[in-house]
Amino acid sequence: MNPRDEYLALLTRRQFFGRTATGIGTAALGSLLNPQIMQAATGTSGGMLGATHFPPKAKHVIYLFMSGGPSHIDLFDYKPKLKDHHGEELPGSVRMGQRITGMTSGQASFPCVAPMFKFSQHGQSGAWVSELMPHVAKAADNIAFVKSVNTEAINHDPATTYLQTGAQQPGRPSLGAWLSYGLGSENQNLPAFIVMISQGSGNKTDQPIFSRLWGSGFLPTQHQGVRFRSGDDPVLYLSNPPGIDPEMRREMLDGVGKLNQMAAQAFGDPEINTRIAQYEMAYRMQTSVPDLTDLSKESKETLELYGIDDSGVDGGFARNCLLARRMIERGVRFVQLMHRGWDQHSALPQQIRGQCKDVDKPSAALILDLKRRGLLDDTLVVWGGEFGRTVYSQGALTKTTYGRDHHGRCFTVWMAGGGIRPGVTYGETDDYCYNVVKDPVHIHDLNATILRCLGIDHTRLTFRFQGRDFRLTDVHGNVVKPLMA
Amino acid sequence: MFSCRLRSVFAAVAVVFVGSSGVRGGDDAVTFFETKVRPVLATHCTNCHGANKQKAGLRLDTPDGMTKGGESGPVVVPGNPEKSRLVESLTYHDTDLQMPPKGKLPDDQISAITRWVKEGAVWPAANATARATTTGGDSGKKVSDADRSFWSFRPLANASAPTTTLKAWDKSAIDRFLFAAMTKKGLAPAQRAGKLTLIRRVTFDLTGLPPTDAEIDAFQKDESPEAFAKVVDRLLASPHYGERWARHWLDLVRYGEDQAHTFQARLFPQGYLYRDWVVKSLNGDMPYDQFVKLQIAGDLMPGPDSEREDRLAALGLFGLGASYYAGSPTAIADERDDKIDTLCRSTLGLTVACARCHDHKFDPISTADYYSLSSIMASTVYKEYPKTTPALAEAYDKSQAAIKAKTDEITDFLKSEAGRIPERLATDETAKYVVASWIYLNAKKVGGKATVSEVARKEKVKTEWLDRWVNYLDDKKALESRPHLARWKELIAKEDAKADSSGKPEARAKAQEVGQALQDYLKATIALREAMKTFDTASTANKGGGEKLKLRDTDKKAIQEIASAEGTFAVKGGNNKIEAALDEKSLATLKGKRAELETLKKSSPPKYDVIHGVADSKSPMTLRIHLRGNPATLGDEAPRRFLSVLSAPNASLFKEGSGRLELANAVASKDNPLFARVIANRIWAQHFGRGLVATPSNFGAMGERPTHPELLDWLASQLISKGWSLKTLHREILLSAAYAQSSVPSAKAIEVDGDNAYLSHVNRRRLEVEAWRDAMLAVTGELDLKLGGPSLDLTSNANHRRTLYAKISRHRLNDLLRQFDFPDPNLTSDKRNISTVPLQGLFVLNSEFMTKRAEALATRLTSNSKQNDESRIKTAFAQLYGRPADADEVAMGLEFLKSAQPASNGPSSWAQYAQVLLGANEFLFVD
Repeated sequence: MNPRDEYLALLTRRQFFGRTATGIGTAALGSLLNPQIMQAATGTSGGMLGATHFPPKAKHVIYLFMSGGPSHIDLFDYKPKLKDHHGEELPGSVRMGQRITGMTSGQASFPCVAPMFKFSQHGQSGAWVSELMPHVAKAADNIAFVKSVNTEAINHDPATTYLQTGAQQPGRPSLGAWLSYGLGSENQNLPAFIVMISQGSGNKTDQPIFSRLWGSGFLPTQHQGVRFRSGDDPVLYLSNPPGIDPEMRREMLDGVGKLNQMAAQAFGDPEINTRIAQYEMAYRMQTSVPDLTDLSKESKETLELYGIDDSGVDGGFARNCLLARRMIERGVRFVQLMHRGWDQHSALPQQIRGQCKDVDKPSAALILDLKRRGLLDDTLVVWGGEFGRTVYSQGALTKTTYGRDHHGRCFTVWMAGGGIRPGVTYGETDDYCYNVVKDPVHIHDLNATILRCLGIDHTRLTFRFQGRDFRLTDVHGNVVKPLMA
Repeated sequence: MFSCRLRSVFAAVAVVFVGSSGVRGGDDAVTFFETKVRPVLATHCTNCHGANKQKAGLRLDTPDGMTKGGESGPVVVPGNPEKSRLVESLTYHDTDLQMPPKGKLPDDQISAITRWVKEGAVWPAANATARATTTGGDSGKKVSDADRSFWSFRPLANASAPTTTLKAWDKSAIDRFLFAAMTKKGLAPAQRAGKLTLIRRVTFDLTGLPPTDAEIDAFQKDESPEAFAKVVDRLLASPHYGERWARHWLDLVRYGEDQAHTFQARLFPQGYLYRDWVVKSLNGDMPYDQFVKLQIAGDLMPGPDSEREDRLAALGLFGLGASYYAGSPTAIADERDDKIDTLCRSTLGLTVACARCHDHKFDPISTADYYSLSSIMASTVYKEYPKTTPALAEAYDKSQAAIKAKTDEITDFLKSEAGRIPERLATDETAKYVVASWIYLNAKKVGGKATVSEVARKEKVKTEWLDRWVNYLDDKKALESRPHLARWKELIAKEDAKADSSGKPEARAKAQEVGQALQDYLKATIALREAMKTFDTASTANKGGGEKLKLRDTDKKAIQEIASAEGTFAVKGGNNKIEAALDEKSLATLKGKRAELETLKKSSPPKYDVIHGVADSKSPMTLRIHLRGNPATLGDEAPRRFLSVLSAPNASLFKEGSGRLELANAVASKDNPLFARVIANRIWAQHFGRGLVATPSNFGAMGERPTHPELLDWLASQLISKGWSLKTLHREILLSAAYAQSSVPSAKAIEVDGDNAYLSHVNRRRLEVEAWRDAMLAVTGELDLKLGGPSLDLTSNANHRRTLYAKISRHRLNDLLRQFDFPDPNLTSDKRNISTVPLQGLFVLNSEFMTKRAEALATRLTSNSKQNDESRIKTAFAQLYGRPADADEVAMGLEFLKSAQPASNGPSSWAQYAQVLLGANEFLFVD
């Protein structure tokens, strides 16, 4: 017997109608607009948490990740006394035999380097910002600068993995995946977690970035980040293959839909709705994504604000900042920008100028643009790298140049928007920008605080994997309350 | 015993603590200490004031240490935080007493400690055992009889299956057990599935491929009662059985061919040898105990020489494990953890790795157990075994050694040359550099824009040295102490301080003269020094003469500052820099050596393949327990042995080498009830889509209990009694009536058993990405069924081999695999996630892989010009879904073909229809 007929013979009338009542047969395709079915299809709407643990301050996050480790010493953590120690050996009492990377451990001498950039205070908050970041400086009153962030990791790969997933070894879900899992998505046509990467003009040969960093680990696959690339095909396989126009695509989709329905009527396919919805959403992404990435409707003023047409600024990061705002407007939960090139082991002054030129204007523009559109209140913006850099020079210190090695014992991260107290500086380092002397903020604390801004108790967003409840902050993390508005 | 002594000390001291303050330490105080105080002490204090280090003579990890205090007396006065130096140091009020030195603790932690002291500094006495276990300081947590009586640790039970009234369900013990349980729930088995459904089900199940037309046809025509058994036997004998089931095993052992990072990552280019070994072993129905033993200790097991490479390839279980970044103590501990976790979850169904920081909270596994296994892993090293004859391996290694020796010789030569170059330059080129410096400094005097490198180019000198010469000569303060620069000093003093004299020939001549004089001086001084060496030996005949010829300190200083490896002519940087500064003679020598190196390289035999495995380290290690998982704070020793709960109470420690062979024998033993239960459950779970224990890698207290404990034990016992033959177990399961049921649930089943735990029908299954992709290539006639060999890139359009042979990267997992629920190869995985997301839809609609398959399918279907579209549609249904097309389906197909527009530069209407067929649900599911 044909398995179809066999099925029909076996199904009782009650079962058949019981199953089809949810939408098969009569109006399967029509019911696609039913949000519940969409939820089932994508798993992205409606997170695992249902309601958040606390009233959320922020609903979205834009994380401007500065890959490579920006020098907090040259950008934000101003230490006037460092000038007096310029060229002197870093005192042993400061270093205290701490682990340093293989790149400088063989160095005979560790001369301190005062930054060659001017610092001044800005805004009513009087935040110290280096001349390299004039636009961010102007936005200082919107920002909370955290000078005491620290991590145990001192190499890029483990440090980035640590910051992103709470563990130095691979295999855990990243922050964005946790948020997608916990909070779900607000837009049925776009993923909840989007990643964009740009190459900075500083160090062009530093560590590459791989998809593992926005993986979902042991969380269900739909929570992994989706990378938007620059160019004509922002999402993998978004464009129709050559020779296929939208009409033909529609026809094929309807064909698949009809086949599925026919089979479903016979077999009682429980996955039919999710599968139809999956294809329909894929189809709609083919229009929603190009609409999202089309900047032609943005005003000239906005483009200039971000510096998109400014030929001196790397277009990638500026464009990605503007795209991030457009994604937030459309309800994307977590947008992560990754800007490479911050690994200034040598030629720091020249490289960091380039890096700052890439990111200063667009980062500040993002804050101002979100603010004037009323989006900053529920959007948390985070800016920072995986670690900071050493006060001592890597390689020779000359009149015109120096380098700095990785440094995890303290670095600066800044945050703005949803849930964050604006215009504050938190945490303090010693006169050498080497150790934290007040209010340390471990990266677990930083992540706990980010979750708290979104209304999540970091100890209660968990996933049981092979007998153990895992969470982003492992068994650590304290919310930094003074940072919260 | 040490730990017992400690415990009594705790008890005594805690009484003192509580007693002295007059506050009773109740449960709340204990909880407060355990949750708020001990973690702070453990994280911030005991690194320096603990078992390992006692700075200032102070220990803060025991109540004893607290009372005694350090060099400056007690640090805690119970009930009186103001007088407790511990509290004072935390507040940072006193600039001389600030702890921890790294930075002040958060206020809530300081107030917790303060409150604790104020309330009497309760250090729980009764909880000493619990304390010791939570921090992992105790090596003696005994496994109790109650622990051993937990269901999964009990010996296999030997229950007989009740008989049933239903004849078809009375033949196999499996069916009788299931039927009994089902009836208790008021459920009845579903009808037997039809032949078309069955052959598709079992073919995918055993080989991961769809049945061919001929196979379907033969089965349909076979009316004998053994027809299905014949199919099962044929499939079990197929080499594709091993390919399919190897992948299930590879998920468990987190098979990957690289590391999750780029920098200094250890790669496994021949990792596939392990994968192929798994396929081969399963195809050969290697006994399961042997299969696991070889993976743990294949290098230590005897066997014929002809199988040596197989035994070594099996070691991939550990050999292909994680190698984390930069080898810090924590990373090395993480690497051992990866091995323990993978082994224990996959073969024992135990989450042993939970006992790394504290005793397992739910299962009788102590930190001592964990570190005993860790000691075995610490005594095991990664090893690459040559996959070639010893003679060839030796030849290669020898030639590599020669190449290395020659390379070192070249490096040494350059190094010694680098030491000689400054003196040669000082005696030959000093004048040029003095003149060039003079030109630059003159220009600079009047604010000229010339750079050092421009001057260097014009004067034909090297920028690097000129830069140093300029700094050297321009250092006016130091001129006083440099008598050899007296004439230079005089020269610049005479020149007009506000004019650039470098353009005047007579001025340049003077500078030249000064430079030449310095050069002559250096030459003479160096010559003198050399002469001294021979003169000294002859000086016995020349009384007092040596003294006159002695170099002055100022002469030595001049040589040091100009002609030494630290001087202005120093060669700094890599070999390229040194090479550029060589004179012709040395350059010729260098070239000669390089040519010799090239010859050596050319004559070297090619690099042999290696097997990525492990070996015992030279001297086995006994680790000490890492308190709270921290490699810097160590507790008792953890000698190599097996888990206590799975060992006899008086079991001896492992004695041989790393203990891996003893471990292998302990794990893969019929006396270890978990070993057989876990694999029997896994086999069952793959066939039915759900295990009798629904958590296949967790048979502990936090895992699910078995739905059919007697059946599970029966399966496990069968496995053992049939010589650990997995194929026999498969056959037993596949020939049951339960396996052949229809996938249509009864109304009752939907009502009372939504999860289908009682198996009153078969679960409908979605194909994994491998089977889905393979099936696609199979129905288009493109699948290359070659077995084994190096892994291939899945992104290549030319790759038509089974998905099993794709390269598996832990760092950058292939997009197709990642998108379709392939497990993260960094972690052991016992179950595939099933997700349905739009990105998968985009792949089906738009990827080149799909459009190419659709074209191939269309070409195949339309190649027979005698067929009309209707019969082609029918062929397509038969091939893709293993069943005839219905009339309405044929009608829909015809309509589609009629209305679909063939694209001028794109797919034909048949290709579009083929893609519709491939993208439909039915292709992805198995009933």
